[in-house]
Amino acid sequence: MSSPALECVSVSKTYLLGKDIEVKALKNVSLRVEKGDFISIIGPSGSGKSTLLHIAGTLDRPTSGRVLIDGVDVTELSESSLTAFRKNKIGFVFQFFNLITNLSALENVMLPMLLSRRYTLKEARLKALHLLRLVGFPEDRLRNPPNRLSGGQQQKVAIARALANNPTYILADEPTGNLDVSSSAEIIATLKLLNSFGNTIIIVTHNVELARITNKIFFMRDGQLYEEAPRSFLERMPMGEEALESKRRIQLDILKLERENIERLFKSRMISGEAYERALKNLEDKEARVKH
Amino acid sequence: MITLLYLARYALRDLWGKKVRTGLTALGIAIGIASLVSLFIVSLGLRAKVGESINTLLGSSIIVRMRNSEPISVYVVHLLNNIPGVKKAVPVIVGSGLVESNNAFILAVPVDEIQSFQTILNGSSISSPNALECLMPKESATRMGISIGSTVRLVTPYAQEGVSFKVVGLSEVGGLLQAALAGPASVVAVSLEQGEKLLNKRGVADMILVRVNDPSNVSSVVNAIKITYPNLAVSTEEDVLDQAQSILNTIDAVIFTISAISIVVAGVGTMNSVTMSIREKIREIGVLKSIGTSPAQILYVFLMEGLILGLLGGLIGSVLGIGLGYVVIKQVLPRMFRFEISLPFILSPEPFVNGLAIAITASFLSSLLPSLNASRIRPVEALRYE
Repeated sequence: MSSPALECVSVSKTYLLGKDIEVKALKNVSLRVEKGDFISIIGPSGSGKSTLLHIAGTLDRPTSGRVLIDGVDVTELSESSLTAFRKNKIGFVFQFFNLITNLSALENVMLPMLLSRRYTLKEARLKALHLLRLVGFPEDRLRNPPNRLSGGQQQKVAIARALANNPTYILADEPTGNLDVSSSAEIIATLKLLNSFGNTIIIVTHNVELARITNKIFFMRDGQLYEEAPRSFLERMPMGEEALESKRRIQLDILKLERENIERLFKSRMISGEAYERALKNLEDKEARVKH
Repeated sequence: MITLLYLARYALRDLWGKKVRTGLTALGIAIGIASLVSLFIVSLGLRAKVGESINTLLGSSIIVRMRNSEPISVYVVHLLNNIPGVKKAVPVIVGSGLVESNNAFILAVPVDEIQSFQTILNGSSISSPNALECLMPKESATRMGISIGSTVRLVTPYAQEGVSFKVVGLSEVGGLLQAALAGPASVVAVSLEQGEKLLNKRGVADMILVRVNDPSNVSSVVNAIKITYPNLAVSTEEDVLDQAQSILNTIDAVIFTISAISIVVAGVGTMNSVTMSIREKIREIGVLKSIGTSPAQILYVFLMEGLILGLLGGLIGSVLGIGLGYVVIKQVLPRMFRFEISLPFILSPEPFVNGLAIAITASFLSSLLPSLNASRIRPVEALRYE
């Protein structure tokens, strides 16, 4: 068994608000997320959800405890190593979409790939196109800047962007918090689909509807994390078999592009043989999962 | 490489997205650079003109004066004529007086030498050493309503009741030479003999111009004069040029200090513009960082914005400055002074390149600090920022 996607060990976070006023946002929180998991963390505002999300996203550091991502202890990593780490291992989806306003939908998805320097412009564009198709983004809006997209469309771009560098897991902070009911349903369906294709997803929300599609629900209160007793999950894939089949084909196309990319990287000696083997194995696992 | 190009395009679009601010900031830089470049061009013209004037007057000649600035005995002229390599020593008398109640600068040289000092536009030169004839600048003659053939009265401290002279020729206004010698006064040229009487300098000269047979011999002649007559101060074209250069350098320093202020103002404008850009984008910087943009790349984006502003302002400013320099040289300067001052307009890549380089350097420096701050923004705080 490979290492878990995310492992938080006895993580605490204390904020100092002025002199002598301490706020304990997280108290001794431990969380283990396996690869392929789909979990949600729910809880009232001020419970520490966002703090945990920031720490899981390496945007913030715990006061004590350790954070391991894909088996690597990131607790003490330097700011620049963390940047590199985030780029390749973590995909973010925010409540307010947070797309880059100067870039078109397509360019927003290409950006993380170009930042990683692992993709050529052509590869990045092709993969971005596939990712946008996978999340169901309308093809006639590819060149639109974010301010000419609906909320649901913007969130789809954000999800495609989060997937761009094959992250170890996707962190979604209230992904439907700013969307109407029908757009929310689409985003929920998209996340479910992506998980069924092997993506690890962690959602922070107070939308119980959204939490119900995940495999595990954690409840957060007063900086402490509790695992919810299992209850009725929405197991059924919220889309028809035909639609699912077309999504499968897109996902397989993306995996094919990935394979070409890592082969090119290996041939031009930009990655080691070991990394190449690992990436290939990873791709095969994913392919098997999509085809199942 | 692709990443850098992509980020540069991001900066470009950011600027394009707020055209008014970008335009005004670039304009601020352009104004500073335009003033600098135009002054640079005027300064180039001034240097060329000074060099040319000194060369016309002196060429390979030597100016000899007394060390204590007293008049030199005309006897020295004969002595100098005997020094090997000397072609001819020309005594020159200068002094101030009035012509028809206007300030005048009286220049007296031997009749056969007048034309090497003054260019005659209309009429003729002075006919003989004893003739009561003079040359006047065309411009002042016109102003005073004097034409060829008129009689003018020259008054000096030694000829207080005045002496009447017939104007036989109108000379070109002596440009810089005139400016240096006489300021706004008119240069009235008379024969050496008449000058001696008018200025009470019989048998003496204020300076002696020594012409040399062979231009390459100037320094040996200078040495010979210095050794034979240690009391004489000797200056060559080179010395005069050096003096003129040092004066021009001072003028340049003043000019460039003043225009440096406008560059600083432009720099502050750029800093403001980049700072505002960053303020508005704090959240977006947080997003960029959370998806893996490194601090160095953030720094690059905003430095790029500053550089693009500088490049834009520098290009516009340099072109404007060259145009402005042309207008100043051809239109403004000739009208600003009573005497004609015609500087050459020299179009060289130097002012353009310098203007551009200064604009880019200034914008780089002024966007450095805000960009560094942007690169240090912590993503958690930036994402919380509304």
